[in-house]
Amino acid sequence: MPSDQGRRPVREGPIDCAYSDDGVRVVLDGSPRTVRAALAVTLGALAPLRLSRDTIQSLELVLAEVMNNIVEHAYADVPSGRIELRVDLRNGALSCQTLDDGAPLPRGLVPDPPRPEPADAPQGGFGWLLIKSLVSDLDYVRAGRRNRLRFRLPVVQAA
Amino acid sequence: MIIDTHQTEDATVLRVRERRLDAAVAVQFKDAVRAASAGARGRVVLDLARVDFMDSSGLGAVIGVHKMMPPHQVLELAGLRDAVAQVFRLTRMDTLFTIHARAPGAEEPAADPAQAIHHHAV
Repeated sequence: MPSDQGRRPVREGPIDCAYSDDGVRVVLDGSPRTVRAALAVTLGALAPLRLSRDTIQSLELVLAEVMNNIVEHAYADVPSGRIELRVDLRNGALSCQTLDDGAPLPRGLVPDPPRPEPADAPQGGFGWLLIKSLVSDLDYVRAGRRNRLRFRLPVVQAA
Repeated sequence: MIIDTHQTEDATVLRVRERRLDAAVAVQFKDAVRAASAGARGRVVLDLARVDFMDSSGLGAVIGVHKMMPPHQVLELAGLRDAVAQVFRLTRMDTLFTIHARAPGAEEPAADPAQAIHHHAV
């Protein structure tokens, strides 16, 4: 796909997407289905950056976990809510940010759940573990009635 | 959610015909596997070779399936692609399962399979 075509703003159902030179800004009405679609739009928009397969794989997983957390917890009491996602390539890493207007994280902090033990065959509690094992500089701020989560994902060079 | 069932000599193979096991389909996935494995005898091998993305909800659903196996049955996994293997590895849930590079009787190797990991449940 020619890159100038990739820079056109896209509206795909409840998802808005705008491109910049080094990244993408996606706004969605959060639900499990729109998170799926937003991931596809985001990864498509970042295609011109020619990220390695490993980087794309980790980015997709982390963004899925972060946005599903927002849908399931921050917006637990509402059918859907607005999520704004930004991903920018900056200083050799993907700088990521989500904004939402849902409930704050418990105690205003990024959760630090106990590491799930395989022997217990747990069926949940993996989300933050996956996020934390893949990102750096994880930072959460509650500003007014809005949640802002920021983190960086290292760009892994193709082998 | 389509899951094909194949009976081999000693295993029931459940082939997941879905590209993504995520929060959007985790519940349907669990129900579909439960239905597909109802009459199974012996080992139950979940063939994930077509799945190229799984999130924590998908992982929780696979573990849920493992937990609802009757006592005489064991759930094993096969055909994990890189992205799926990564989720099992980062959470250490790969140690819960016997994981095969390929399901018994799988027609073709996955285009891009993760390296085979052989973990054995204790």
